[in-house]
Amino acid sequence: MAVGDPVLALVSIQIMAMWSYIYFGGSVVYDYIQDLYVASAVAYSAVMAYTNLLSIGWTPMVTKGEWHFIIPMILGFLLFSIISRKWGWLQRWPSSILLGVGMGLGMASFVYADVAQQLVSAWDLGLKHGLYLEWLVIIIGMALTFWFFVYTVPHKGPGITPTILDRLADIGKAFVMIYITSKYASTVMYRLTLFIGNLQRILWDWLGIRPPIGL
Amino acid sequence: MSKAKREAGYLFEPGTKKDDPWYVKIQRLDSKIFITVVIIAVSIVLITPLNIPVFVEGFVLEVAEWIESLEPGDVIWLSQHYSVGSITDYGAIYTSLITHIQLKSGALKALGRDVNGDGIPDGLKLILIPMSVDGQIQFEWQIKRTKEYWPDNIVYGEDWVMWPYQVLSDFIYQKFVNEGFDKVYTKDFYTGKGWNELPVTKFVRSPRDIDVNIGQDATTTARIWALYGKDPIDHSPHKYTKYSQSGRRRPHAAAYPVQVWDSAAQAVAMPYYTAGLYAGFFNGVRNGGEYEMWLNTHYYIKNNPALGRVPLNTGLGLNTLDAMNLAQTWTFTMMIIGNIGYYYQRRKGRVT
Repeated sequence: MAVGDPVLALVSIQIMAMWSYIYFGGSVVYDYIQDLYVASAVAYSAVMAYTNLLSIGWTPMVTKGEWHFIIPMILGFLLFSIISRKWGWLQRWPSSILLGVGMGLGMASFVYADVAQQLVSAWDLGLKHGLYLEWLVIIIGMALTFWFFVYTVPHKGPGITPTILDRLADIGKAFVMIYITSKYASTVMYRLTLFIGNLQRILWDWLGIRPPIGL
Repeated sequence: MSKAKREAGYLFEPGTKKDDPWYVKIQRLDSKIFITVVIIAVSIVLITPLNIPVFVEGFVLEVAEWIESLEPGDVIWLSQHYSVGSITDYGAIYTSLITHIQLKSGALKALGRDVNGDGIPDGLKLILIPMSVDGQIQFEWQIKRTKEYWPDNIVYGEDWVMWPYQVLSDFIYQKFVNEGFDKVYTKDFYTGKGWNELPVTKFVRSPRDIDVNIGQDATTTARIWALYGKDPIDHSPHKYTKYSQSGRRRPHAAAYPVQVWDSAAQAVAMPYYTAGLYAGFFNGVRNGGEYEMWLNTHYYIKNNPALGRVPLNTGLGLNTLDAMNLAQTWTFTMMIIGNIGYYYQRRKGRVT
């Protein structure tokens, strides 16, 4: 029984304060907990960033003479220039480097992993592994979804009769809807898991009411 | 209470009249009622499990059987990328994975084989890498939760190690490849020793020395490691074993990661899996519960002379799954009823 544990009590009370929004809407309690959550997350990240800055940048620089680390440190520092109207333009340099490196690393493998391999595997599914039905659904779905996005002309309206191309785009739209439905359903599942996890914190960890399970 | 609420009655949203038909009322049921029912029902299930039986999916079997096929000295890289907020969803996968790896590792170590010649019998080498800012908190929680099930011969620094979080994990992946691990990780989380000082890591010099790479960073791992792979993985059941294909053995083993995703990500992850860019795939709490079931039927905690063979008492994921099944059934039942109500309203011409 961990009811007396102040940390678990605090965690559980905070969870319930968050849930108070459901029953009472925005309130002082809810606002306070929301601010506390954001503040503690920022504080934790700031401490971790400071630790990393010391261990990865500063220490090698002053102890091993690796002075090239001064460049990323200055660039990082320039990110704070955004708070000044006069010097705000300086943050464009580190921002553009961050974006550029990210894009460069991502793009190098994007074409291989996200386009080429997935196209090849979709094609191979039927021809190499004999899964002809799956292959047919994937190929048709892929082609018509693509068609739905590129076929951007009015499908119907005064004086316009839907053509076969319009109908094909409609089928493509159905595939998109199936994807979105699946994504929506799994997101509901995910949100419910978060909620259940919070209930476990309260019931199992704080109040100690739990079935005899391990792990 | 406002006039609108008085007219509607307590259970319904403002604007609902007492003489409205059922199909209007059911759609305007106050969301507080709905949520209260969910909270009460889920609480009951969390205290008194339903133990709804589930079947173990091929995704889980694939990874579990692959880990079973590992040999002394094989290296497992287990990284954590999601924030702690989602831990309920994938926590059971990690606790099951860590438990399974350590149980297998203990059994292999007991064989007494010294593969790398450092004078220490080798089990599996488990390397924990936090890739999110709160990743090390999550690992500590998972270790604390599972440690009582680990075999007695598992030693920190010899069989497993945890390294501290470092910023910008996407870039660090590239740094591992370019510079080697020892330049990136200089002090381990618990003892402050370097990569080359610890028996568990000193023989791991590049990603090519990793036999199983488990992570959860959406698509980045797949994209970056895919550059070093040669042949995409074939997920046919008869090809699960270690040496069956190039993505599952050195030198290209690290190229294809086992990915742990949350429940919301299955639709996004499946194309990577079917394309063979993942060596394995876990999908949220469902697969976590199934992995626990698999462990429960395949492993015992340890041979205790007093107690005999004590079965592994798992249940975090399975119990969460029970509660989720219930909450989800309730949610979708209400959605169906709401849609039926909407259909009736359309038939009666109340909405267009």
